[in-house]
Amino acid sequence: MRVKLKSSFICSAALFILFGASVLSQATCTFQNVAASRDSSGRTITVIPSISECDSLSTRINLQVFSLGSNPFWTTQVTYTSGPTNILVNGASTRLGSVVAKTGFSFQAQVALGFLTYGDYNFTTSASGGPSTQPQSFTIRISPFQLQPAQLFIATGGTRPDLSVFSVPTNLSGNLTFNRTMVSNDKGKLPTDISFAQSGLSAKVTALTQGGSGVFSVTAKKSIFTSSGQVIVPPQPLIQILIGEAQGQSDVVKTAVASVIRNRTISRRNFLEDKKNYTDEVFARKQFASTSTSRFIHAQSRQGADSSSEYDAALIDAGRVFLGTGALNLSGAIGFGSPGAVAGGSLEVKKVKDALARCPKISASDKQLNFSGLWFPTVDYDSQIVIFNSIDAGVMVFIRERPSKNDCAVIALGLN
Amino acid sequence: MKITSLKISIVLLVFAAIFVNVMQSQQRRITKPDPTPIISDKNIALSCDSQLAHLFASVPSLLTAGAESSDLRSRATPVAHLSEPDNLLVTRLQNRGLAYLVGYTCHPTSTELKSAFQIFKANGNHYSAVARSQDFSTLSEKDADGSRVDDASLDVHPLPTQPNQQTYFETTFIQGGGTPAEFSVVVWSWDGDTLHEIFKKAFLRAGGVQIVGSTFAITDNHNDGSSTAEVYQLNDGRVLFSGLLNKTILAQAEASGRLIARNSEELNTLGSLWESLGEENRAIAAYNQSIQQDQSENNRFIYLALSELYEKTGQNVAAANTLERYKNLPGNALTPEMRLELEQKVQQLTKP
Repeated sequence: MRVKLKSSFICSAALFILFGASVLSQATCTFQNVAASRDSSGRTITVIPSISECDSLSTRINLQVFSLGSNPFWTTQVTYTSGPTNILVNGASTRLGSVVAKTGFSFQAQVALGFLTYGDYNFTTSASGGPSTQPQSFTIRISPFQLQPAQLFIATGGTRPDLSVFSVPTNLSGNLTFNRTMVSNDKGKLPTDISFAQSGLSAKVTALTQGGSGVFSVTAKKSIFTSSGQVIVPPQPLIQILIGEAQGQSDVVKTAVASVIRNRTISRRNFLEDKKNYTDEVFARKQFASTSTSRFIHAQSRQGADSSSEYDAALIDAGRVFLGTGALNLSGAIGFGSPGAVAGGSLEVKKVKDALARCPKISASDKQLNFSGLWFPTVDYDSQIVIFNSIDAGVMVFIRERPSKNDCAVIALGLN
Repeated sequence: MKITSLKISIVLLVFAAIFVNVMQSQQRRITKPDPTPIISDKNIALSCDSQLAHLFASVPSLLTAGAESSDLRSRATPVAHLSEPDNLLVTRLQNRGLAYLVGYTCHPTSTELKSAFQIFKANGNHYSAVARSQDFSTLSEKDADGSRVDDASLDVHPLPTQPNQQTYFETTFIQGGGTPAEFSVVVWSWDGDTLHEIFKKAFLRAGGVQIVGSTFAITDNHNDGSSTAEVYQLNDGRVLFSGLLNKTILAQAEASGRLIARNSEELNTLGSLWESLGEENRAIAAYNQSIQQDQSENNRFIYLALSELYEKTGQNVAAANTLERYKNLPGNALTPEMRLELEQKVQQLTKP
């Protein structure tokens, strides 16, 4: 009977270790369960495993303690010996130096350990009663494993060094590796690949093909631990056009300009582009005058850009629009203009406001409205100026096809 | 011996005279406009010529749409040529004593056409613009997909007649395709037969030219984000740089009689110039004069500018009155929302 009981303890301990239910914890752990056993002679203590690593505080480690000797007075106990803070034992806060589990007449004890902060928690398994026994220690290591940042925006023309690095600060053991998979290159003209230059717990990401683009899923892996991130490589001309058209303007305006290019890629209209992709839209004949400016050309690379801070901002704005998550619909706007930016611009703004007040039912490009050709784009469709509340009319207005002949030449809309 | 030295002296004198003459000639070239036509019929690039013929095929419809006369095509005479960067050609068409100028551009090295027309009608020595290419859809070049490709535009501004009785005008050629647009400014003199380019500033961007009388300010926004506004004045047939736009320069131009606005458009420009220099009261005066001169629909937006300036200078009652006038302009069908907004604004301005 005793033998049967011992056998069943051993089996259950093994099963406990091997098939510890991961549903008990959201964390990923090398072992979810720890078993500390004193053998039947009472002379040897074994702890399996000696270390368990987990990547999240939402960890629950199941600790099972066995005393397999026949004498019920030969007990086994586990003491919390060192760690950064109190721990939770079956939900109750327990201080350093406390016994967290102890066998009694039932020959076994089981508790659930919880942790409140990252760190190494050390425990000692010792014996009481019976032959003397060498205590055994084990460690529960709770350390995060998270790619930082979750998203990187990389330009083929160069990226600010500290904005092109993934890092995975962790104390978890194992070799760190990075892998990537291209998820999409929607409306990108040329795909690129990315590479990782690893150094310790970080990796510098580089886009390989000049002018190429792509969205990548990145996985960092160490032992059984994984963390995912994203790398967005927008087409370099999209970054350049934000500098060419909206240098010095807010991120909202830059994003709006990028969104106009995006809207063109999905528009049924012909903008004299070669193909419906970001690069061809930017370089389409007679569409964006800034492509001939030095500041546009200089922005082919971060090193050559007139303003590195503007370049960095344009990269992120372009990246978010290219990814799609940051794109503004802008009511389908496919053009823009800056009435306040030309000489005598204050009066041009008043012309726009006057048209907004009167709701003339003509095309915004109609000469009757007398907008200067220095800011109003040449369009060959029935145009309408849209003023978005978040974008000052003096800075930039947007132009779309007039939905119907009964609509005003100028209207105000909310940004979203 | 004496005879020989006399001969040498004569030869030296002759050479000296030739040298002085040549130098004077060079000096004249620097200080005076070249009297020879810049282009004749013969040296128009062939490809442009063929494009010219194509464009003139549209002239009859243009004429029926607004201009006068019958067949001007056969009488077209190109009279000037601006080589770079826009390759602008200005053509004079004459018929029944009336003269028209048609400006257009083309690329001699490609088939691309950038047409931009401004048609003048002569009235004595004064030439006023009567039509633009944008007014005539038949003059719009379109590609195979129906997209308009002749997206350039040409604005023409007559300048005051100078003591030499020649006609002067300024053209702003706006390079289409994108905004803020590239543009170039050229000042021409025309003696009734031949056109001369007397001033040119090209490759400008994102600025514009503001003309009042014979004074004009050219604003050019640079790539680095900085902006310069240079003031030039037409004086005795020459365009002279006066300095960067500031209050003193404008005041001097005003004192010398070269900043006299001749119509409401120039008054608006004058107001805009003063406003940009922080001279609100002078801007208010100019805008008020403009409204007095032109109470048509075209000038409606000036009320908004004026009201804003009144409010800025603490003249709230005047601001409210101006908005009331704007609100009640004949034919000014404001949207209900805007009417309500204006009424609230007026109430706010008149609140004690």
